[in-house]
Amino acid sequence: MQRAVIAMTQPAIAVENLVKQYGQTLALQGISFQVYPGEVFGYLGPNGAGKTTTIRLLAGLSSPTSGACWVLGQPTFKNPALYRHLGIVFEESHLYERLTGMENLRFFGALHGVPTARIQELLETYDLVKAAKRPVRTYSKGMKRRLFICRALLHDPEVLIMDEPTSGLDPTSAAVIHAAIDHYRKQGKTIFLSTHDMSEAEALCDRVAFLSKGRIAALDQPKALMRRYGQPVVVIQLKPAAEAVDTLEKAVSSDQVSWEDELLTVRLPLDEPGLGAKIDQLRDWGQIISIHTQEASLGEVFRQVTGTKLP
Amino acid sequence: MNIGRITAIVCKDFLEALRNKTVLIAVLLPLVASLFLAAVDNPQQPQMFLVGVTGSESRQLTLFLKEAAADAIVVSPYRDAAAGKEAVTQGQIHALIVAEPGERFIAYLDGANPMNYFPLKDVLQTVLSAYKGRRFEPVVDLVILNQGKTSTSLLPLWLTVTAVMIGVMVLSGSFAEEKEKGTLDSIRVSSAVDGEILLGKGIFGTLLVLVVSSIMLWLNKVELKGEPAAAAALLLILGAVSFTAIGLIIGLHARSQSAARAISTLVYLPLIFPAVTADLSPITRRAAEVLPSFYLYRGLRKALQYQADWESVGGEILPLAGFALVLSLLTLLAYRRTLDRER
Ligand SMILES: Nc1ncnc2c1ncn2[C@@H]1O[C@H](COP(=O)(O)OP(=O)(O)O)[C@@H](O)[C@H]1O
Ligand SMILES: [Mg+2]
Repeated sequence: MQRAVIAMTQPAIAVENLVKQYGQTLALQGISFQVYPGEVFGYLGPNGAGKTTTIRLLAGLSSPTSGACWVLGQPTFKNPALYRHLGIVFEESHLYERLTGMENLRFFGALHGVPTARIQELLETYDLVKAAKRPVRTYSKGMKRRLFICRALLHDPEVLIMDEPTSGLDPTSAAVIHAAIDHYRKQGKTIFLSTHDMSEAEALCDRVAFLSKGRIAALDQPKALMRRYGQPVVVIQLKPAAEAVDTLEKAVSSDQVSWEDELLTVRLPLDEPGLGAKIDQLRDWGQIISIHTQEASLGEVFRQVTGTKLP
Repeated sequence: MNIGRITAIVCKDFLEALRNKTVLIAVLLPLVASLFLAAVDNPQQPQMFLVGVTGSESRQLTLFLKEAAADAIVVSPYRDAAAGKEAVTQGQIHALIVAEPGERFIAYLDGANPMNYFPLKDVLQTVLSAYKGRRFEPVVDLVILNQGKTSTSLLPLWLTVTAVMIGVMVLSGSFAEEKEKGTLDSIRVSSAVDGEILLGKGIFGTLLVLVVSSIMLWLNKVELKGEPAAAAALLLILGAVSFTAIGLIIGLHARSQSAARAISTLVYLPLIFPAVTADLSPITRRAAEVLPSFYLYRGLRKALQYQADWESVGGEILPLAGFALVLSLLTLLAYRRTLDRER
C-alpha cells in the first residue's frame, strides 16, 4: 500500500534504458530504475561495474549513448537549472588544494549564492572549524572528503548523489559520513549512494540495486533480497579428531568448510535434507565448539545473484 | 550571466595564482627582466671605436688619430689591407682605414651592428677631414631627440612578451589543472553556466596581464598621459584577451597540466619571434602579420615610444580587436566541443 502511494509521486531520480559506450567498452548496457523522494538508494557494484559512469550521467557531466535520465523530473544533460536542487559528492574530492577550506567553501558558496552563515554551520557540523583556516593541501583524506561533502551540501539540495563516499577512509571518518547520511535522510532528502561496501548499504539503504558489468542484476530492499536469495545457514565450529580429517573433508563439499587454526567451520543450509543426521555425524568426527544459525549477508546475496564477489 | 559568480571565479583564480610558484615565476620573470632595461638608459662609458690602420701613410695617420681622437678611437696597425679586412669581418675591430697617398682614403666598416655603424661613420668623416687639412662642413645642425629613452624602445617588446607569457602559459596551465584535478567538474555542477566560467577565466587572464604591465611601466618610470595612454591600455587589453583565449584553447585540449605546458612552450616561440623580428626581412614580416603579437608590439611601440594618437594606432587596434573577437569565439566553440565529448 505504502509503495503504491510512493510510486504515484514523481520519482526523485528516473533512469530509463541508459546505455553508455566508451569506444569499444560498453560501460552501461541499458539500465533502468527509479529513486523515490526521501529514500536512501544504494548502488552496489565492484570496481568497473559502471557506478561512476552512471553518476556522471546523472550529474549531467556526460551525455548518454542512448536512453535518458531525469532528476526531479528534469533532464540532466545541459541543464544548469538542475544544480540548484542537486548536490554531488564525486569519487575524488575535487577541491582547490592551495586554498584553505574556508576559501574553497566561500568560492563554491558564491557560485550557489549561499550566505556565509551556512558555511559556518556546515563547518561546525563536520568538525572543520579549525582546519578551515589551513590550505586543503594539508588535509587528511577523511578531512578532504568531509569538506567536499560540505561543498555538496552548501545549497541544501533536495537530492544528494554520492560516489563511494567512504572508500579508502578509516572507520572513524566513515562513521562521520554515515551519520551525515542518516542526518540528511531524516530531513526528508533523497540520497543516491554508490558503494562497494555491503555492510554500509545494509545499514543505510532503503533499497539497493546490484550493478554488475553495466547491468542491474537485482533491485529491492536489502531485507527482501536476503529473504529471496540468501538462505539462512547453520554454522558449526568443530575441533576435529586428527584421524577423522581426511574422511571429513571428503564428506562435506569444499565451499561449505573453512579452516581457522585448529578449528573447522562448516556452513550448512538450514533447509538441507537430513541436516540433523549430518550434525550428528560431525559430532562423531570431533568436538563441536559452537553451533548457531545465521542470516545470509548482503555480500553473499550479491555473490549469488551476480556470480562476482565484492572486495 | 551573473556578475557575482563571474567575480567569484576571477577572485578565486587570483588567490590561487598568488600561491602557485609556477605562476609567480611566469609573472615575476618579465618584471625583473624589465628592470635591467633601466640600466640601458645610463651608459657608464662613452662608446670607444676600435679602428685598424694600414697602408703607406699609416704611421702619420696613427699618430694623428692618437692625438686628435684619443677619446673616441683606439687605433691598431695592420700589416696589409687583407689582414685588416679579415679583422673587420670577424668583428675584432669596428673599421679599417687604408691610408694610401691620394685624394681619398678607403675605410671598411662593420655593418653588422647598425648601432655602431652610423656614429662611427660620423666620427671617421670628421677626423679624416681634419687630417687631410680640409674643413669638415656639416650641412645641417643635428638635434637628437628621444635621447636616454632606450628603455622605452625595449619596453614594448617586454610588454608583448609578458602578455603572451601570461596569456598562453599561465591560462593554459590553470585551465588544464582545473580539468585534471576535477575542480572544473565541481564548478560545472554549480549554478555557474559555461559562459560565466569562460568569462571568469578570460577576465582573470586579462586582468593579470594588465596588472603586471602596469607594474612594469611603473617600475620603469614610464609616464603616459592622454591618448597614448588610452591607446596603450586598449592595445594591452585586446592583446591580453587574444592570448588568454589562446591559452584557454590549449588548456581545453591538453590532457594534463604537463601536456598544456609543453604545448604552450611550442606555441609561445612562433607567436613571439616573428613579431619582434618583423622589421628584419619581408619573410618575417609576412609571417608576423598573421599574429596578434605583431600588432600588439607595433602598436605599443608607437604609443610608448612616439606618443602616437588614436589615429596612428588604428592600424594596430583594429586587427588586434579582430583577433580578440575571433579567438574568443573559438574558445567558446572549443569549450562546448571538448566538454560535450567524454574525456
Ligand atoms: N572515460 C572513459 N573512457 C573509457 N572507458 C571508461 C571511461 N570511464 C569509465 N570507463 C570504463 O567503463 C567501465 C565502468 O567504469 P566506472 O563507471 O568508473 O566503474 P565504477 O565506478 O563502478 O568503478 C569500466 O570498464 C571503465 O574502464
Ligand atoms: Mg567509480
